[in-house]
Amino acid sequence: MLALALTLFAAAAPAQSGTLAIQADTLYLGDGRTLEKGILLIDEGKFRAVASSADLPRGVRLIQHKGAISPGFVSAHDQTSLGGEATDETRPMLAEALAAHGFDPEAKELRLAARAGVTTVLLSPSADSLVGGQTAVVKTAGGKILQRRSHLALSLSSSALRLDTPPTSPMGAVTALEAEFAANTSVYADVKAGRLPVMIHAVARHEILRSIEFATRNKLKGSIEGAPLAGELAEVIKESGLSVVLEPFTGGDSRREIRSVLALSGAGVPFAFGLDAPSTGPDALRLSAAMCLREGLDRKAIEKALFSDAASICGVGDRVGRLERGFDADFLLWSGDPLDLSSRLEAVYIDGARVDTSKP
Amino acid sequence: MRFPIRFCALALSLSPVSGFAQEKEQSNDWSVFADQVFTSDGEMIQGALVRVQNGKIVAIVPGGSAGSSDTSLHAAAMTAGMIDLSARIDMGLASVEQGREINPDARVANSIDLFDEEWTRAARSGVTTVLANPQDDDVIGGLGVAVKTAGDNSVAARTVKADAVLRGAIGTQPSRRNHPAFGSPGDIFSRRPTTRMGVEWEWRKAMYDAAASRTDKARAYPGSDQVLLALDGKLTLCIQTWSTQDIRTAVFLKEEIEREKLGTPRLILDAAAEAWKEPQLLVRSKVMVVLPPFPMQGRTGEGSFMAWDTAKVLHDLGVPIALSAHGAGAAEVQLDRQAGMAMRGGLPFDAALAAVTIEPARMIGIDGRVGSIAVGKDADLVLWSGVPFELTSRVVGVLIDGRLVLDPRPAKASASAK
Amino acid sequence: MQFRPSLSGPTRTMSLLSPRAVLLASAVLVLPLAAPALADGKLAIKVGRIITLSGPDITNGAILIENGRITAIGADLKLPWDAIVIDQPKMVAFPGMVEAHSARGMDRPNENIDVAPFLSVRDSIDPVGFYFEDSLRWGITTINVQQGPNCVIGAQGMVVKPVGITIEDMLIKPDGGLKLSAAPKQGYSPATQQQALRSAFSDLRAYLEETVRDKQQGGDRSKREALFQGRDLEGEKSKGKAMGGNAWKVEGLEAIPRGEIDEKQEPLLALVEGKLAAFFYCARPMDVQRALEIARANGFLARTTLVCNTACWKAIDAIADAGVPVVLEGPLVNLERDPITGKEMETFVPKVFADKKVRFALSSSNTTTESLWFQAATSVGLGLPRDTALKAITIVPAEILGLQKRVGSLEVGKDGNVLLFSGDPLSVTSFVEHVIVEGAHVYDRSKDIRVKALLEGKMPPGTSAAAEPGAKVEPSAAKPHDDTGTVPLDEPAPKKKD
Repeated sequence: MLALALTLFAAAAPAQSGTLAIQADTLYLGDGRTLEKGILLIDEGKFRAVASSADLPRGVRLIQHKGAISPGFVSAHDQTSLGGEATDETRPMLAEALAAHGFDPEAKELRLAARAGVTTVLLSPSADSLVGGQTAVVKTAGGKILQRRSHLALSLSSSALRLDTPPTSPMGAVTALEAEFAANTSVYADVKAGRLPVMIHAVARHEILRSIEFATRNKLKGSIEGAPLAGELAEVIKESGLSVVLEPFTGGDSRREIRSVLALSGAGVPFAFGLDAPSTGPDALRLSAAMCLREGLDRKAIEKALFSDAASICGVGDRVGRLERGFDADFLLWSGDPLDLSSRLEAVYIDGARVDTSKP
Repeated sequence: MRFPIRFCALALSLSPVSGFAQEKEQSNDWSVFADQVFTSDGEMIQGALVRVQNGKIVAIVPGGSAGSSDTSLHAAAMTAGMIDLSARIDMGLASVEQGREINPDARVANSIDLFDEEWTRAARSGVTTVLANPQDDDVIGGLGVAVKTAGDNSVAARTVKADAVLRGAIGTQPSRRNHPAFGSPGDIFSRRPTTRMGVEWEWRKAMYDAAASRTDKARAYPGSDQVLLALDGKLTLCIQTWSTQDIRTAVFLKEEIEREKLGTPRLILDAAAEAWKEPQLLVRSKVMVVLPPFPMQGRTGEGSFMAWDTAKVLHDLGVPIALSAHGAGAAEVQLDRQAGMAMRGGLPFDAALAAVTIEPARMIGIDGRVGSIAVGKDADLVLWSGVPFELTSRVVGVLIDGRLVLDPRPAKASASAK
Repeated sequence: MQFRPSLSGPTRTMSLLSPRAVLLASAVLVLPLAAPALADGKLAIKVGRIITLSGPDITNGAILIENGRITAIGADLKLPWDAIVIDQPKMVAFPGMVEAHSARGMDRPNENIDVAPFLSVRDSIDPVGFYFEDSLRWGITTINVQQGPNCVIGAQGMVVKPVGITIEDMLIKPDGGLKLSAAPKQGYSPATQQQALRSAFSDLRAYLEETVRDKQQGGDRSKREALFQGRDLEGEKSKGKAMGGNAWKVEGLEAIPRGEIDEKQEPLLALVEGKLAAFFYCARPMDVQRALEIARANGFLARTTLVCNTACWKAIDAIADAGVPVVLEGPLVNLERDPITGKEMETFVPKVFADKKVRFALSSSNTTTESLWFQAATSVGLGLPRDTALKAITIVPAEILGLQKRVGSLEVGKDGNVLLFSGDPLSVTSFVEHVIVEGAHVYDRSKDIRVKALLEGKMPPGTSAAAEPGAKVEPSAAKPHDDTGTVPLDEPAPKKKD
């Protein structure tokens, strides 16, 4: 902790106009570590420094925040702002489609997400297509696209199979995918070379297994997404090197799903939550994390799932998801511990700018 | 009214040893002793010890003793794990690629749900290897895969033989839901055969096109390579044929291929309920037969009638036969019961044993690994409480790849279930 | 292929009936409890092994049946010179099996009326139904035919043998007991069902009280009704008094002559009085509790048998406490899916009952073979002691039917109901070769064309069934193709593509 403070703070540059410094009781750094009485120094939308004690450059006004600061939440799978047009129903496979082209920065869901503290989302084509297209990573305010092409979105779940359009069966889907991968288009070349990871939607355990076997056979990198019971296959997933994006728990009896999260964590599989908005409200992210905590999940693991691991899974782990020098200044001011559901979210900052949360 | 929870323990006493955590803890090295060991190599050893190491059978010691260590098992009788070539553990319509009628390139391995309880049910009934096939709603449904019924959570790891057969059907099932093109033009069922004749035509076209593609690449179609392999006898054809007319169609097709010098296919007729009617036809064309479950009242699939002596008749004529439960889920009609019913119809015990172990293994070419108790083979063993296949006996223990799937030690079985 | 009843083997053996037996059979209505034996004369059965179920097995013994009853059994019997002898040294003799409850053998086994205790299955039984023929083939010689379970209070059952072409021929015991169901009738909720059951008994009580009140006020309504229903009020049966049961009584009922009780209410009164047995159907564990409540509240628990579906095993404690016997229908193994883990759990149900010392009978109302033999054999395989399994298809159901002095084991004095198996009765390779019912040889497998058809696909030449597809007629005709490898005529001509 001290070492961190020293290295980071030593690099603090002279103050410039517009530089912001905030001190809070606790800083949740996003990778599981915390810093008591830490200070954030923000300049030009980036964290200039994250430090433990105040040897502030002159001319910078220190804002004292009574409470905690965390990075902004990262939702690792979303259809927010695609305006219900996340599927091309005429073609089961459309690798060239870019979710980034469907991104509407003015979308209301983005504002709602930002207000709940979600600052980065991964936009994905829906799981109703075998190959839906490519995902994009965007900010929920300011209209910034962090990553134009972050994954190739595949779906090996039953929702990608329709009776009126072949393939109609999982085996037909795999055959079709194998044929598609064999065709040397630039997108698949990127995927096979490891430049473009995949995000494979799978729900039932056999779908997860099929996805893993498909990814392993084709030496793919990326994530399994959906997968409420992925933890029951944690060992197999760990072996495959894939990560997991989970849907939040939205009511019903979620004990088995939570046990699955615990198993994933126990096996050391990186995982994150994807809101899959608009089907789930943005508060579900924090709620799900709190539920896992209650069932005994390691607190550090939850924080990583909400922040740093989520950002890494999205392919932007070097830019968001942590309170760290050089990272985008996306952070949240809390009245207390963010995982305590009675804590209030008091302010949301994206790229150093406070988000107006008063708008409907 | 008390609904006694405590009975759950009793209820679970038949449950399998499950959960990968437990499997990991268990040793895979066992000393298995039985008063009678039926090896499926035409031999019955009175009192023998079978040693299992790393999932393989490493020694068979006649007269050896069971010992009493934690890794010794004991039962009245032992056979090799049973093999069901028509287990029908599929995902229903999700194991049918409905976009095309001819799908020789579809791999059933990709339409399997290993978490279906059917697998566990099969495993603890003593069926250790099954041929998973597509549901027969297509003319050529795809490539069947031979898999173990228990083991790692991975189809690849459980596979005994990938692309074990090219599976299809003749009869009413492939054309069942099809119709001529009317109504919605986008309906994928509107361009498929609606008659037995149409089904047969699809078969012939697939075969002739594949044969022609040897010289004319334009005649190739998705999966024609696999059909070529089948024509060459390198990939076994497995065709569902319930009734006499379908058996004839399949046999004549095979003979036509041979006569036209298009190839020399190996043919398994599955669900050949009426094979007893013209057994000489099967002898003549050298086909292999998988029989469906013996129906108590004779009537069975697609309106066919199966006599109880079918297995005996075919066996007496030297036709290779395998028995199957054909997906009948109830405990009363599982594969061991079918062997018993075949014996009721006159099949000798040795032939009944072979028909659920080594014969099916030979039919799909996996007899190098499974199908009998022999040194070097997979440690797939079934332990019985008494004479195998008698109704009054039951499977009390099952090992698959040396892994204990059903524990014959009563105390252990209930303890592990808790 | 349609089998024709006229071809059936077993029912044709009626010719074995002597004219005297037929005459006696027609007298059944008059003397219902003294049903005559099927055959008179003497029949001796010599076999390699006799499983008596009343004592140790007998090796190389004989059974002597005279006038339908067993008069001697043992290893060294001196057989009368005039006995007809069945000598089968390789076969095993076994008592005829007993079916404690069956809703088959009837034309439309379910009655629409909710409460219909005044009906009798006598009017629904179809003597030439395939079920009876098949029962004989499986070795079932005593059957309690009861209405189907889709009722509140159903008709009265009847115990029959699967031999004969009239009800009177078949009759063993006319009052087989009353059928009740705790499982909701179609369209009913459990609450509606239970209320309908309660109402039936409260209606009975209201009727009895009203009748007493009318009589006390000097009315003669019940007598006029009885005369209107055409009952003989002077007859023996009418003289007894209608007495309440153990659970509740109607004061002053003794003043009403039995013959004056409305015939629609009378069977229910008999049930309350403990004069009639009850077969109470339960599909689920929750039904058991409700059935027992009704039986207790109305005093007929002691004469109640629960007809339980497999799932009812969970109510085992309630059943054991009540001390009632059980007829076990459905599969032997109860499969359940754990709602949380999705894992299947199996319960071998007969063992649960045996361990709790509940008397139970197995039933051929199951999903697989529809035979008692198969259920018993499979039960042994699954862990039931052989003795318990054998008793569950013989003496226990006999006791349930109150016929333990007549059937269920091979003993002197009992009915001459004997099965001859080709081997051990529970072996998969054994067949029922002969069936003797009350001394009459009513089934011979070598003459059973249906078993022949099932076993070999063969139908006797000359029958219409032989001409149908599916029939293997004669060995010579069974080879439409020769073995020389030539192409048969009916094969499509080889064709070249394009």
